[in-house]
Amino acid sequence: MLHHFTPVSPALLFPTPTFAIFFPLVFAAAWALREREVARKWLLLGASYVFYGWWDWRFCFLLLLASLVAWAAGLAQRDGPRKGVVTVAVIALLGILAAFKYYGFFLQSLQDGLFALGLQRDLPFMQIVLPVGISFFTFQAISYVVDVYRREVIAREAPLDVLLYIALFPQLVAGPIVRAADFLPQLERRAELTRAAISVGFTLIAFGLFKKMVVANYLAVDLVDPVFLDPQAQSSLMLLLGTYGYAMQIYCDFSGYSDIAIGTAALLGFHFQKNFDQPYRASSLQDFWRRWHISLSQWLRDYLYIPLGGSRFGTWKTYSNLLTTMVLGGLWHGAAWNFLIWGAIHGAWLATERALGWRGGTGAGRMLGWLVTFHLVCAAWIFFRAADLDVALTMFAGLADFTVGTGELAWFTLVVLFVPFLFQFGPRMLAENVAAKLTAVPLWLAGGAFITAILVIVWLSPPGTAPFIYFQF
Amino acid sequence: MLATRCLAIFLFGLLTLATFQSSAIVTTTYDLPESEMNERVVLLAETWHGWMQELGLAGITEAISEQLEEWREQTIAAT
Repeated sequence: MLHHFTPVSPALLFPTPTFAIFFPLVFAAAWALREREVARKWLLLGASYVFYGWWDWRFCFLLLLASLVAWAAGLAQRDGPRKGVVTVAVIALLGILAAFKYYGFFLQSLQDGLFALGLQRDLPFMQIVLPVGISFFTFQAISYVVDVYRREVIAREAPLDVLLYIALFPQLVAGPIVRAADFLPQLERRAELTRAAISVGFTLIAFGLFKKMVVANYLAVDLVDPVFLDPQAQSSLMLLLGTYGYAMQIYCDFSGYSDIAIGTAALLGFHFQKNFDQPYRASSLQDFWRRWHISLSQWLRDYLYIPLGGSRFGTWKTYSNLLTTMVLGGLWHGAAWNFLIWGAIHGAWLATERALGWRGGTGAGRMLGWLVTFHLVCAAWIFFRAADLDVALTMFAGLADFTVGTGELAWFTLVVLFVPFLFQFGPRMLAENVAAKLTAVPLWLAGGAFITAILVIVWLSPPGTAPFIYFQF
Repeated sequence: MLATRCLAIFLFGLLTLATFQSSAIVTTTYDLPESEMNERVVLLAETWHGWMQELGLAGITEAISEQLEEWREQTIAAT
């Protein structure tokens, strides 16, 4: 039996009035404390715990526990057996993740298996609430422990920097997964707010809000949810458009969140790397994973695929490592068979591309590669989005009917569906170029453009605040 | 200095949103837990919304919403 957990939505979401009041307060206090480095860090840490605790204060202890485990493991590596310390810390951190995220899935799967063997048993199910962002901050904690082991980062004697690295609110609940080696050096430098950083902040926040509040929300309400709720009632054309719609919805939702997170961090003086780079432009799945959720794919490469052996131990071992990494990457998203299938599809195709020597092609080959890659990714998204395997299989069966009714589809929805394609095939450095133009004009003009953009976005958005998809991970 | 000017932009932005989204502010305050202070907040929000309605600014958001709803209802099948 497949199951989906109910996504939990923190009240302090980015596109809410509460956050719109919260952030300027934190911004003002953080820059007022610019010359007092330690106080500034404590302020940001406190604000981050307020941000996280706004949803449920009890899980702040979980966040604190994971952070302290990471910090202690860093410190213990100075005197103790380094490999042993890393092993214990990673097991502890993954154990916390597993307990909250996979306990129910494991028990349900076990019960289903026992039932299939005619061995009904009462198993100790518990209602476990999935803490928001647990997958993200667990991976960041592991990043610190392993980066210390690899001597890419010096273990911190005091816990403050490590606590702040793991809890900093812009990226806490849905990434990007920031590497310890990238972030901790920024805490050692004097905090600076530059015109360029302000422009980046304004641009990315506006881009992110547009993608999330306008595009993703309309696609969800008007196209994707109705199609996936009742696929049997849909024509093949609507199933196809619903699939494309989800591909664009999840891109706009997730990359929108990343944009807002990176922009907010820039306004606080921190630099986070880009997390999406026109992923649906890819003409191979290898290229797709260099463009989609870049921080996760790099994390999986550096902390899972390479330690497993990468491509160093022969062809079949390479394929096995690719499949294992992607299946575990799928399970990271959620404790359900459909995420496992999603990961397996990606792993199997990556291995296939490796076997065929396919690197994306040129000319007509590149076009074909794009067509195949985009539709493979969309097909895998069906498993990702569907409530269960039955819905996914019904979608595929319906697609093969080749019926063409448009049902309740509106022209407006079709236009909204088209917009994210512009982001994919438009200028690659669009956000950077806009930010550069904002830097070149007086600040009051840049601010005016930012406020106007926010107002237009709010006007265009449907009512209500839908949670970000990746909060459930 | 730069931070101060940036903060001024945020505050002006909040004021702008409060001006044109006054009805959304009222709706948000209705969800607050019941207390004497929150009742005053609701009253303040309603008063502000009343002022924005008199100035005709609250109507802009409503007009745009209605137009978007109209577009969302124009199905391809019906055309």
